Amino acid sequence: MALTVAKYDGILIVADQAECDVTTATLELLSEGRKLADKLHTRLDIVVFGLERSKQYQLHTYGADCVYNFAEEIFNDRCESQYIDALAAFLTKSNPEIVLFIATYFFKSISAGVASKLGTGLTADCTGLDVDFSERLLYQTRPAFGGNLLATVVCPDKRPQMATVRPHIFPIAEPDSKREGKTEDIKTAFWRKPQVHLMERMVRTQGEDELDKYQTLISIGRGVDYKKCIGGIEELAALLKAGICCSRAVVDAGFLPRHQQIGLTGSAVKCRIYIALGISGALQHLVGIRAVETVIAINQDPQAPIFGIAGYGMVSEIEKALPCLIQEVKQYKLINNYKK
Amino acid sequence: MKIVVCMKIVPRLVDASGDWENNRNFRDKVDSVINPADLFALRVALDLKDHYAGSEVIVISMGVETKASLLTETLALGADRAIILSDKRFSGADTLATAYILKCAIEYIDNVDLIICGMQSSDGETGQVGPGLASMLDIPFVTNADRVDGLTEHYLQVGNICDYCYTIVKIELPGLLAISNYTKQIKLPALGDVIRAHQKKIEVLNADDILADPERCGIHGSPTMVKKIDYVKHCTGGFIYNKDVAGDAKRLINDLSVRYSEILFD
Repeated sequence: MALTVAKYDGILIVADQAECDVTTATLELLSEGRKLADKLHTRLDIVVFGLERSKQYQLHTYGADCVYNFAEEIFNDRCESQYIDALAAFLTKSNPEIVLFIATYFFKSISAGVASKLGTGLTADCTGLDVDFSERLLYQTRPAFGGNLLATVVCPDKRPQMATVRPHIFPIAEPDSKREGKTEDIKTAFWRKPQVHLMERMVRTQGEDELDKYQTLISIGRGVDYKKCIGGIEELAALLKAGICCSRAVVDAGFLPRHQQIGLTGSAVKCRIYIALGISGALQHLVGIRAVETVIAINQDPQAPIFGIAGYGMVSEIEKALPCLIQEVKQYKLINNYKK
Repeated sequence: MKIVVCMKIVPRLVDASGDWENNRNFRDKVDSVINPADLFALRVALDLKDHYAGSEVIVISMGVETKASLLTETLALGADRAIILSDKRFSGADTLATAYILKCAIEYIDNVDLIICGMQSSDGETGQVGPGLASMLDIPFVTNADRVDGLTEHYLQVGNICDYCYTIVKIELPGLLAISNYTKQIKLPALGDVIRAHQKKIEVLNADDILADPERCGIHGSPTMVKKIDYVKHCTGGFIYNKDVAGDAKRLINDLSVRYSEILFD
């Protein structure tokens, strides 16, 4: 397949925005994108959607050369097909060699739609990125196949090379106030009528933000007999003032909703203590708990990889461990209160 | 209403064995199941069928023919037809090529009003095929839907879990939904339905049947390839207790009280 790679140049980041500003994940990706652009001796641009001018300037300090602003009102509604049409048209004109998105629900859908329109490759949920200068290739690394291995994916014959990148993976660089760049408003020539209509918007009462409130989380995995154990888990959670979350298997089984899922396709948390019950510790799951201070693992399989990252562990069936832990915590609290 | 449910047959336990140079894992050799999220998708389709008389539910799945019998379960649950898209030329497909093959199948079925997918497969975990497919068909989509409320002739009302909020939206038909989590569980089929399902045939279609361009299928139609595989080495950890449960629990709580008393026990 003949490909005129020379036609394509530059790295483009698509910003994720919430509450009228870019998210921290956007700054993380900008920081990493800058490094990749420098390695490729090319430019780093960013697409934003109706972002205030002063906030656009701030993006230069994190490494963006040009800020393209899609200013039209239609982008306020977060209507997927409008974003896909606008981005596909923009990419066809601007020809970047690499396009990076943040792996939010929204941009995972948008990126898949854009890749499909352009007939190019897309790698989901990357946890590592690198580039090869001579081949102009983007190395996209993601956990695969149960998290037992890391796959590095390339897209050799099609452009742009596209990936979604997990939040909370890359550090945010120190802003450089001397760095300058251009800003440009983009007008979209053609609009189709929206085909998905917003009826009602609710602030989520429970969700990822909810999990962020807790210093301690108790996480339920495949190795837990949910129906038998949930009573004990709730009791322990109440004693420790902990939140409850889970691995994907528990969501797939229909026991808990998706927003309580931790891991590659769920949330990433940064609590201080993470009590993993019956969680084997596949890399897919571990991606979500990188920022946790201490992992406490309870699992009946002493070979489970979760013990490899756990600060404390107990080899036991969950059903047997729970009543013992509850009793010990109650007893400790009793003695402690008595001392006071 | 004609509803197509896209389903994937996945390994029961995902492992790392595979022929990586050719972008494949050994699907035909492992114990397989229907992707859990796709069962939610099927349940949504069957609920809609219950409410709207004259609806037809057609299950399609790209995969090896030897696993076709797994789709019998979908017929027992109430699907009207089950089609397996099987062709050596489909092998090695990434998400783009998969979306293309499903698009050809949907165009072959013709006059489809609604396509429902699971949000993601339990093995690939990309979540890209649904929105990719919708864009190829140039129809609207909602990913991460968890509720399907009302249907009028041209609209379907759905609940959509977004990144920073929850929305209720109306999607015009024809359209595509990717179901993340559906409150209703799939029921077990009645014995009579199982017996009847086994009398039905699973249809098998290849690239020529669905007028798919072989150049856009399988490994040829897949822009992405696996360059390198690294096995993950797990480091050794901290204090692991493996004696008797009661004693271990005591030691664990004691350890934690030293370091984390104010967080855990105050």
